[in-house]
Amino acid sequence: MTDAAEPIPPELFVPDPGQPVQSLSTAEPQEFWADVWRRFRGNRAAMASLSVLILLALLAIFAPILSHYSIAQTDLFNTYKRPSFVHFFGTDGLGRDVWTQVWMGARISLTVGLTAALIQMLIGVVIGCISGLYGGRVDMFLMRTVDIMIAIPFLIWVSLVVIVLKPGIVSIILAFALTQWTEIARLVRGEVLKLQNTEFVIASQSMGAGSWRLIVRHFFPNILPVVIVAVTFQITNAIFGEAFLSYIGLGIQEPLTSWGKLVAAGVREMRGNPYMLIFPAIAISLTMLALQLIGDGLRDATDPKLRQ
Amino acid sequence: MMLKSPKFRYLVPLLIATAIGAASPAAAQDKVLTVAQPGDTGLDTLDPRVKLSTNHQFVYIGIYDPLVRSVGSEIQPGAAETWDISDDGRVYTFHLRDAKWSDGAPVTADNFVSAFRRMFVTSGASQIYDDIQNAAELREGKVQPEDLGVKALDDKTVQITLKNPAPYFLGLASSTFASPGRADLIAKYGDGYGASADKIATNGPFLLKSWENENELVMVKNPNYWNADAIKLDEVDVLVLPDVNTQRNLFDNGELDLYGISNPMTEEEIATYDAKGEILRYNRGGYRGITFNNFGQNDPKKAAILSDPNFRKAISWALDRQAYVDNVLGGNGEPATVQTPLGHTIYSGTTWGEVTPNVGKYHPIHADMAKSKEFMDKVLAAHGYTSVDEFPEFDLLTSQDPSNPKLFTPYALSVLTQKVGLKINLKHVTGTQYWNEFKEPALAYDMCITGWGPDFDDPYTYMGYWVSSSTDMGVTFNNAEYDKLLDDANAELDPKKRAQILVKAEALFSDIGPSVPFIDFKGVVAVQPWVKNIKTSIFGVNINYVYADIQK
Amino acid sequence: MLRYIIRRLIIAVTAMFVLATITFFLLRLVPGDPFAGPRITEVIKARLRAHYGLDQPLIDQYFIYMKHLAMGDFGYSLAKQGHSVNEIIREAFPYSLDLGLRALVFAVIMGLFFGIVSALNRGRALDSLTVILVLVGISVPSFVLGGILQYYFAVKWPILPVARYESFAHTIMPAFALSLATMANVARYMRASMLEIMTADYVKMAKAKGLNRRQIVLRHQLRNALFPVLTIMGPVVAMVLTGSFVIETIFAVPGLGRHFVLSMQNLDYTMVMGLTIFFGAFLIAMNFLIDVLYGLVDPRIRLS
Repeated sequence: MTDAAEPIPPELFVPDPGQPVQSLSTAEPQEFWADVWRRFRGNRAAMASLSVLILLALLAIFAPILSHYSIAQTDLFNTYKRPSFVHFFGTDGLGRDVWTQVWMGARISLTVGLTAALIQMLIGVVIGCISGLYGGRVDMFLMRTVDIMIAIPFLIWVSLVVIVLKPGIVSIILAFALTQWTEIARLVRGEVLKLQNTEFVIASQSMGAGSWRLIVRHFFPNILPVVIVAVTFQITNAIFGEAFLSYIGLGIQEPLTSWGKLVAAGVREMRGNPYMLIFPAIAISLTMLALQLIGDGLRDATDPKLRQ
Repeated sequence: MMLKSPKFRYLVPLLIATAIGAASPAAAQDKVLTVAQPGDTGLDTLDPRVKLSTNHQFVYIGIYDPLVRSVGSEIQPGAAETWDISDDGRVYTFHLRDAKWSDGAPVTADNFVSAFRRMFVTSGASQIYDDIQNAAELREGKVQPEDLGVKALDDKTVQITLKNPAPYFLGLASSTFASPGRADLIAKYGDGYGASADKIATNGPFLLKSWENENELVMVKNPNYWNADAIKLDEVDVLVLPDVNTQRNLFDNGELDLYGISNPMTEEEIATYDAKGEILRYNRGGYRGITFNNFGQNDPKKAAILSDPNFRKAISWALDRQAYVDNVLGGNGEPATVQTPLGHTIYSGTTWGEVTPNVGKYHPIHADMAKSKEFMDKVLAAHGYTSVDEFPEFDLLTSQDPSNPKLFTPYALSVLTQKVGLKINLKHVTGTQYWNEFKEPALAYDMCITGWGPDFDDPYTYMGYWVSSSTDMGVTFNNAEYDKLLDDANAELDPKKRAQILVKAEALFSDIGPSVPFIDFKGVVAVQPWVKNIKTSIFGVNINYVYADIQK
Repeated sequence: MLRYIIRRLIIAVTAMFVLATITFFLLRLVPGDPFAGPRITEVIKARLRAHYGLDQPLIDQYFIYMKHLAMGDFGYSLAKQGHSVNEIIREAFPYSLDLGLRALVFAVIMGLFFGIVSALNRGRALDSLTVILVLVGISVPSFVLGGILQYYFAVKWPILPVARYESFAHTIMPAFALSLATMANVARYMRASMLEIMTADYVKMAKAKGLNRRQIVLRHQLRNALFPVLTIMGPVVAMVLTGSFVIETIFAVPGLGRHFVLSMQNLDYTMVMGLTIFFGAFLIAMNFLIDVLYGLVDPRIRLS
């Protein structure tokens, strides 16, 4: 503590270069995650969102099984019926039950979102680690590749992949997974670079620990929080991306349906049959909102600098 | 890069506003018709020999004057004042009036002759003019352009010789595809001809005033048009409005004068405007259905099943056309059970519906699953299968064409898979890809959602492309008896006898042809109460704004 | 400083070259022909292919294309007969640019505002409310939001024009709709970096020195919080300025965004190439600008 009488030099008010060094969690991983959960629990918005998501997921799994309608079943004598006790969300232009469609669509949208995000995470973490750990030429090559991938407009990439592989779940997941891992890769690389210079790692290395041991025991637990937050947001990107593809006609194909497809069709019926838009739109918007709040909550909970 | 970054953000709207201002805004009492173009992307060229879509034709009808004009269901004089038809119905002689192009050059016979000849080099539209002498041969490169049966007898006389009489030929001559062209300007501008307002000449009721490709095209009345008295509008604004809901909102605000041109309207929209008396219904022509590939993509197992007429009937009897029209389209369509929509004229004063006995005979109006099963059992027996589950998987090709009847693809898919029990691989592709896969040499489909729009007002426009020599939809159907019937019909001068021959051909085709018709279109469009005298046509440009009037 | 700039420039040009090459060959993977149509025959297609040079060996096409590209010529559009890609971009870009700039300015100002407000009120109701408000804007798909905005504010209550881009009033709804995504991201980043800094030592020192809250925010927190926000601006700016397909479709703005999707669907190779390179150049230019800005402001970075 400096002497209170001495004037405080202005250099002390300049921020630290780059990011402040992340304090490595030297405590056992279980304690760290327990802390995270405790902080997350305190965030009311995030907890509410989590419950909403769980509810939606349960509906997605069970509602179609319990419903007596299937999405492929058309009934030309029951078209455009308003919501009722027979059809909770009404029926569409071919007499298909909208309730069943919304929850079958949930399965597709959530699956696409999760799978695409997980694949992105895998690719991104691997590339980010390699780039950060090996540095030098490898790093330069990988990062330049990332730059070029980002430079190709997303719409063109995605249209290209979906047109070549024919529209469908697989091509949509691949279209996102193969092009959107760049953000996670950069993030991971950044974290790896920071971690490389901590005393703990240097100490481990001087004690003879090999790279793999370092990666598994030290890097991963510290990278994980950042990655999880990023993945949460990637899920939202993928769900929205699929909705956009449905809007331009490259989305999920018949007889399957997705929230994006239902909403895109619902917009056209907005004035005449608003229920066809309202239910799927609420479902997708709630999911998006919930995921964002959870992502923000996770970030707040796992960021040690924000511990108060 | 020849890109000029605009100075800044207020400059651009200012520039745009000035550009439109410079295009001199219509005075308050001017009659301006504002419409949305039928397509969802801007027009690129206004050369009728290069681009043919409905979007393009919509403008052609305003800026060009073909030999004759189709107004409603009549043929009226156009660039030709009078015309003679020879007794054998094969030679048409058109006498052109004195008229000028927008740049002052006179309209001559050569403008038409060069246009027809060029059509056979650059345009697929040439296929509908196969009745012209040496047309098919010219397309195949076996003769010279000069041998084509379109000749200029002198500066003001165009003579067209057909190889067989064709009662619908005047309709063909009125098509926007047969608008005149300027060989001199094409030579001068090359590819750029027709691509901008300053590189084109027009001879029609309207002049091209300004044209911002992806935004707006403005036509103004041509004061020198020979029929200028019949043209009441001062200006026509064709806007590029890619979103159909946006068009509707503009219509509700009174800023758009017609609605429903580009996409089918929903039932709610039709009901709303009907209640206000703003709906115009018209005979539209055109159908949609399922076409089969007799070659089965070169898979003999598939080919055997697909070319079996009983297979097609099994599918046809599983489709409920009437219920679909009533409950999905809200009444805005007609079940199609024969190839030609019933509203077409077969000879003067008589529609096809009054003449053909084939309605409902080969394809039903209501579904009947029992009959469908009967037909399918015959197929199973004939090819050695015990159940439909043993069939190979079939490819169903369909496109994202917004003019397809609402929900037809999911409906067809659900009938094929749930009711008939087939295994279907759906290929739902973009417009360009669809044509790549559908046409020769690809033929990459087993079944395909297709349809056709009429090029002239006669059943032949639906029947002609199933002949063996056609390279269109009917390329996998080759039937000598059908060909002969159509040839006989073409040679027959007596309209009633001709009608009977066509009835026979239709019966034959409906029985064994690789096509299951589903829906005929019913034309419906919303018109603002102050817009009068919109003419409609069953073929070509359905909504004819040329003679419209505005009374506010 | 000059060496830093030149180094960046060389990297940028190389990246463009690689981008063009990769896109060129990637596009040829797509099956089919841009000239297909309902009446188009093989003969006509062959003629068109020859006309546009598509019948030559792929390598030759590549070199010819690269040669023209070096001179700034993107060639002729395959789908829009008679129009060059340069011309199409030149006509459409100003609309997207204008719309994008308005959206960007609005997004950044509002995003910063929301970010600061929620950071300063961390944990309290205002924080949650602000966050949720901002997020709702991006939780609803843009084509739904656009459609709803258009109906309510132009038809039901006719305060704003329905569509097209003719006057200031016309720009309000599309710019607002376009701004939401960026606004949310800016708010988020601003909040996060403000929170980081709020707990930094030098701020505690400033508090100890006796500076009041407002002085702290303005003098120290804002400037430093802006750095991370600047980082994400590069790609965001590029994306916003080259147009949004959905907004441009719904509000009938004849910008570049629509072309990105339509050119792919039409298999218009030259247009896709042109757009990709244009977008890539824009992106790289933006990143370059930001790198230079960083270098100017923070001497440590330029020396690394």
